[in-house]
Amino acid sequence: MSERGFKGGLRQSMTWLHTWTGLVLGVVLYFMFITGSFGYFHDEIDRWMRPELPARTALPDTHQMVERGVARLAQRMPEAQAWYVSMPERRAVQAVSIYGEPKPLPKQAAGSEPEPLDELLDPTTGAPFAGVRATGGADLLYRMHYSLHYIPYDVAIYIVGIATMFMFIAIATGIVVHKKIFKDFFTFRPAKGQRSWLDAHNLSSVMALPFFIVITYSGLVFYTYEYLPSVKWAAYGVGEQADKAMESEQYADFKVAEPEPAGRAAPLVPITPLVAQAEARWGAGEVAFLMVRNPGDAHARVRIDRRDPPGQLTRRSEMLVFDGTNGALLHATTPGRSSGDQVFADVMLALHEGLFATPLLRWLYFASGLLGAAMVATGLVLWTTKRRQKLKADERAAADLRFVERFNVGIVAGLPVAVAVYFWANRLLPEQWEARAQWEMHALFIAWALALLYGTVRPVARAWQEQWWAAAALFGLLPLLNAATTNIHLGSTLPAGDWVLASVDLTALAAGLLFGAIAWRLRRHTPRRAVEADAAEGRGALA
Amino acid sequence: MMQLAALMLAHGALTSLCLAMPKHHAQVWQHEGSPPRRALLRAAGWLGLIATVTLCVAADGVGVGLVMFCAVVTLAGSCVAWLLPYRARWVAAVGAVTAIGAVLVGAWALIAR
Repeated sequence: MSERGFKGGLRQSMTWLHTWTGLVLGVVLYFMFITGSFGYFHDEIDRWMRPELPARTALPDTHQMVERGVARLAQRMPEAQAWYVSMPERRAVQAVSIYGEPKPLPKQAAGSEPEPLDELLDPTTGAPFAGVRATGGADLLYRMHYSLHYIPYDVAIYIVGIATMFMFIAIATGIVVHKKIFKDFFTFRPAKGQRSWLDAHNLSSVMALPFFIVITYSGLVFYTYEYLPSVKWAAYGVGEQADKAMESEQYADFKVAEPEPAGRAAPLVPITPLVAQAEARWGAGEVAFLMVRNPGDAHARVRIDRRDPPGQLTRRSEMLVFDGTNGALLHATTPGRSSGDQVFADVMLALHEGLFATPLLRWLYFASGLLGAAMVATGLVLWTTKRRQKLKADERAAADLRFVERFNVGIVAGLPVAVAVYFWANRLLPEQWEARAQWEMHALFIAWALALLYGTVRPVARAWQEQWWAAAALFGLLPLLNAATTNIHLGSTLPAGDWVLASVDLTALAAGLLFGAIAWRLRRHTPRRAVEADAAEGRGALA
Repeated sequence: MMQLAALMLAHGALTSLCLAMPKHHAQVWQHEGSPPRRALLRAAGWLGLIATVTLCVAADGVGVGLVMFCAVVTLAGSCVAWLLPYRARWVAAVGAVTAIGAVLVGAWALIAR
């Protein structure tokens, strides 16, 4: 570690910490940056993955859409703990989304948990969209950046939490190690081996540093009580009772709308006058969400939430709670009443999710996320390049170096391939197949596993190049596949000016070109050295 | 439109700051530049950045404006650093174009408003 001649012990130990935490958690962080970035275009991707949905039209009045949602829930799940109706507010998919939460089973009852009802309704007819393919959509893709996949949620958020905390350590130690942040602010020296990788790693880290700091810190804020449970233990004690006490104190406003059922039947009041009251207070089109708790029970409650103001970092969290049997207004939250801590948390979460962002800023968020992936990827490659350059002419690389070299191919180039396969699976799996949503995701992980395997059987330099070509082909040809399997391809979306759908195809095309360019450059520059390295290890014959 | 102007202005400003550094000045013009020339470039760069942050805050308010400012600096800075080793001679010209473009787009946005 001391070959660079640092005098102090601090920078040395920081370098050690940065190098090893980066290597060990790089895989998780790379996965989080890639999948998380897709969250910024959640709505666009979700729309693209459901090609059967109709084009956008003018929306009916709010009270009509609410009524249709409630009517559908009353018909499909009359015995429910709660009904939820959300107004169309997403950028791309115009649908009333309804959710019916079944009554929980009595404590000792046998049998499986009842299934919730989860549907997208056509706002103009109130009927569920017919013939829409089952898909995990953008939801499943971006949620993996905090809940992973194939791993129980409770375990996953701790793995992600540990990775995030180490990301924080990597940022702090990285700043100490870098030393020349301002002097080398614009420095990139390509085609110089280890030097170039270090420059690229520094550049991607420094340019988006504010983003990395905020996204890492705010990511931890999402799970404050999970990661720092002693905070709530100190204030409320340990156990189920304490958790309930905390909830009822912190969410007092919401608890008004969630009493225990009385067990006596009582008809639900008409919903329309309640929506009208809310709109009279807030203005037309301001209702975002409606909940009916304990429908058909004497303790029925109706909660109506207002939309958050667009383009702001703070939430308004305004809502009205009505008695569901006689329509009396029970509770109205006062706007702007949040505590300072709450505002801080709200701003952090808003900064992380970027829902306030206008299109240009959304693209910049996306680009910053991908810079994060580039930062991790260049760091991983740097680890191997540094060790490879230190080898003497006829020295055989140590097992750990060879392992990381091969592993890196499947991780760094393999994940883009796997994500592309997810989109291909969305178009190619049989449309009526019940398990297709699960298999889209299985396809992603099978592809990734194959990519990892591929990295171990091919000479490293060739594996890199071939996997980038694969990513280029899969992304670049996605618009063609889309044209062959649906009617929402560029030939129809561009003339119609439907940029939501067209942008997904065009971005895939751009990604294909980018990966193709990477593969092309690798063809011209690196193979000689790497092929020599392979040959020195007796693998040349494989090529 | 204001946001586009901010992005272009940030690019112009960062180009200026970049060229104020002797080694990058030499990459573009084959000499390190006289101290007054570099001081001028540095001053123009910082003024441009101050104008950028002002523009962002004026367009989107303090909160979102500062987020926007960080984001445009990220993209603009990456573009400058990436162009430099490959097309050094273009760097100054592209920076000048974006700086002038920023003024035009900004003025147009003001008039259209």
